[in-house]
This record gives sequence, structure tokens and C-alpha cells, in this order.
Amino acid sequence: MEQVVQAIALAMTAVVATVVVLAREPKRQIFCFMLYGLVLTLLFAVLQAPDVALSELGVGSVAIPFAVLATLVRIENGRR
Amino acid sequence: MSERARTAMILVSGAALLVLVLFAVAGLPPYGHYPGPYGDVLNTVAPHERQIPNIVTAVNFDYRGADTLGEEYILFAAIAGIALVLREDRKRTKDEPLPPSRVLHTTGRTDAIRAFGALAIAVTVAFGGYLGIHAAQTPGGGFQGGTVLSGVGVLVFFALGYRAFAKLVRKEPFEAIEAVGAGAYAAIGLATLVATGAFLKNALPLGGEGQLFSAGTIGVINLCVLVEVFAGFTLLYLEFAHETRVEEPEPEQR
Amino acid sequence: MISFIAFAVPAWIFVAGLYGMATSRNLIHLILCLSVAQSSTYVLILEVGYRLGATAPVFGDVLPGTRAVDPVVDALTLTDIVVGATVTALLLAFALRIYKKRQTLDPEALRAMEG
Repeated sequence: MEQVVQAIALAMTAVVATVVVLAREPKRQIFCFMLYGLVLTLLFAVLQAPDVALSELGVGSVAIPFAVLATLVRIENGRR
Repeated sequence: MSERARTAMILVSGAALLVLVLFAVAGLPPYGHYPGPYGDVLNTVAPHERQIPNIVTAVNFDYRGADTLGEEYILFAAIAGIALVLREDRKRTKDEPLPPSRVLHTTGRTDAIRAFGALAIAVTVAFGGYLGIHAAQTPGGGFQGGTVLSGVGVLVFFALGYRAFAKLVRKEPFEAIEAVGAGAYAAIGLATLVATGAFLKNALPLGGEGQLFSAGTIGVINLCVLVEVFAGFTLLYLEFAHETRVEEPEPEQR
Repeated sequence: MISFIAFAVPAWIFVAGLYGMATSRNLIHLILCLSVAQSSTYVLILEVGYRLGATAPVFGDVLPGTRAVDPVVDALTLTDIVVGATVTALLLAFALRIYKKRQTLDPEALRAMEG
């Protein structure tokens, strides 16, 4: 039973990783990346690693998206 | 080389790399049958030896404590690098007023956003502090708790505005806090070197299992890492938040 | 069979990240693809340490001695994630600086070094 859950989590990770790579525009890609962070957190929780899941949750929801969004804001400012 | 040729090349070499990697991982032990001795040795020995339930924290801060010291200094150096790169263009001195905002078309913050933001900040502080302090008992630790606590800065920026964020988080105290956190880790290592002859040896008295302040130096090192990660990430957010308000140089023709 | 699929996923994620980096037209897209390629190593190393039917290596409410997964790879991965995020932020700062100097984020247009 647990192997089914892990197989589903792994398949979702592979699909969302492909989506992140194929989203060319950074404004779209950052939301795909946040979804990828959530899917990775689920995968790490299913693989019985709660510390790693907490780490990925904090980093993938807060740190990287904020840095990327601030960069995009600055680039949009610079274009005007 | 044209773009088409480059895309074709990466597809071909990517496929070859994929085949090679799959061939390589076929030689690993089958999935789910972890054979190696170290994990089992640690799981058997560590709860008794260090009086700690969370073995991952014990590995991070005691058995492989020197690796974590190195990782923490990578973090410190990277944040110093970000500050260096992003401060180069800013010629603002401390006495000048905050530059006007150039990100426009904001709808203004309603009271609902501010109220909910304040509530979210309270919950985040409580949860991040809980995660950071209970490293030895539950999954958690300085790295996780520090990241969640630094989310308070992001919440202040979004819910209360850039001016509130810039007034609340001044860079000098946070730089000092980050340096204290990083330096204290090395200082603990040197202190145990002087006291017992081994760098980062667990030399403080171990409490009972399940108590909050147990497992010797692990708890103290965990607090150092929590402080350092929190201050470091808040500085990172501050640097990037300043970038959303940078004053452009005046155009030459008038 | 499950073994092959389980280890094929990190390999696929890594190669997909590499493909994204090689055919990128925007530096920020490139940096996020690098982050995706890094995350494939986390998945692989956690899969190596996994044991079927085992629990997390935290013995707060289970007796020490029950089957648990490897704690060493957990410890390696969790510091790795935080440090990887910080280095990604450093790369974003570099990309921002490149934009301020050259007004473009296209690797194609950034090829020539200015004199």
C-alpha cells in the first residue's frame, strides 16, 4: 500500500519538474516552482523524512519565491 | 552554433546521459532495502549514548557537527555576497529618507490585510520558535525553525508595507546577530577542544531523554544555528526588498 | 520493477533540469532550472536511505530499536536544502546586477564581453 503512495508521489514529482522546466516565462515559472516545492515536501514526508520535509517547505514557500519576485519587480521597474 | 543545432545537441547528449545514469542506478541495492551499517548503528546507539530521541539532529550537530559548521559558513558567506553585490549601486546614506516607491498600481492595504497579517505573524513566530527549540525531541531544528521564523519578515513586508519592514529590520543589529550565531558555533567547538581535547565533542551534561534541555552541546549549537539562519535569511529579504524601491538615476536630457 | 521506476525519477528530473538550463532564454529561468536539477539529488539520496515498512528516525514515541530509515542522509539533505536556497538567492543577485549593467537577461545577447 505504501508503495502505491510512493509511486504516485514520485510520478507527480517527475511531472511537475518537467512543467517547471517547460514554463519559459519567469512570472509563470515561479508559481510552478512553488507547486514543485509542495510536491517535493509531500514526497519527502512519504519517504519518512520529516525534517527534510519541513526544511523544503520553509525554503520553497518563503525564501526562493520572495527573492525571485523581488527580482522580477526590479526588472519590471527598470523596463519602464 | 545556431540555436537549433544546440537544442539537438542537448537532446542527444541528455538522452545519452539519462541512459548512463539509469545504468548506474541499476547497480544500487534494490529500492527499500537499505543495507548499509551506519544508519542501523546510529539508530541503535544514539538514543542511549546521547539521550536524544531525534537521531537526525544528533547526526547533524554531534556526530557530523563539523559538516554543519561548514554548511553554516557557506550560508554566512553567501549572504555576505548577496549584500555586497546588491549594495554596490545604492548610494543612499543613513540619513536620507526612504526612496519613494516606484512599484505602482497598488490598491493600498486594507485593514483586513493588516489584521490578518498580524495574526499570521503571531502564529508564525510561535510555530517557528517551537520548531527551532525542540530540535532534540521532535523533527525540527535550527535550520527549519530559522527559515520559518524569517518568514515573519516576509509577512511584515507584504502585510504592513515596505516602510514598516525597513524600519523594523535595520541591517546593523541583524548583521551583528548573524555574526554572533555563526561565531558562537565555532566558539563552542573551540571551547570543547580546549576542555576535552576533541573539537565539538559533546561535553555538557546530558539531561534525561525527552526533557527540553537535554543532549548537551546539541541544544546549544541548535540555538546558535537558529539565530544565525533567522538573522541571515532576514538580511537576505531586506536586501531584496530594498531592490524593489531603488531610485533610478535621473535621465540626462531634461 | 518498482526499483527501476523509483531510481529513474531523479535521473529524469536531473536531465530535465539540464535541458532547461541549456536551452534557456532568460537567466531567471536558468537559475530555477538549476534549482530543479539540485533537487533531484535530494530525492535520489533519500531513496537510497529508505527502508520498506520503516518509520522516521525519531524515537520519541516508538521504542528505540524499531526499523527506521537512515538518519545520515536525512541530516545531509536538510542542511543541503537550506544552503542550496541561499546560493540560488546569490545567483539571483548576480542576475539582477547583470540586468542593471546590460539591460537584458537573455544569455544569447550577453555573449560578447564589453571592452
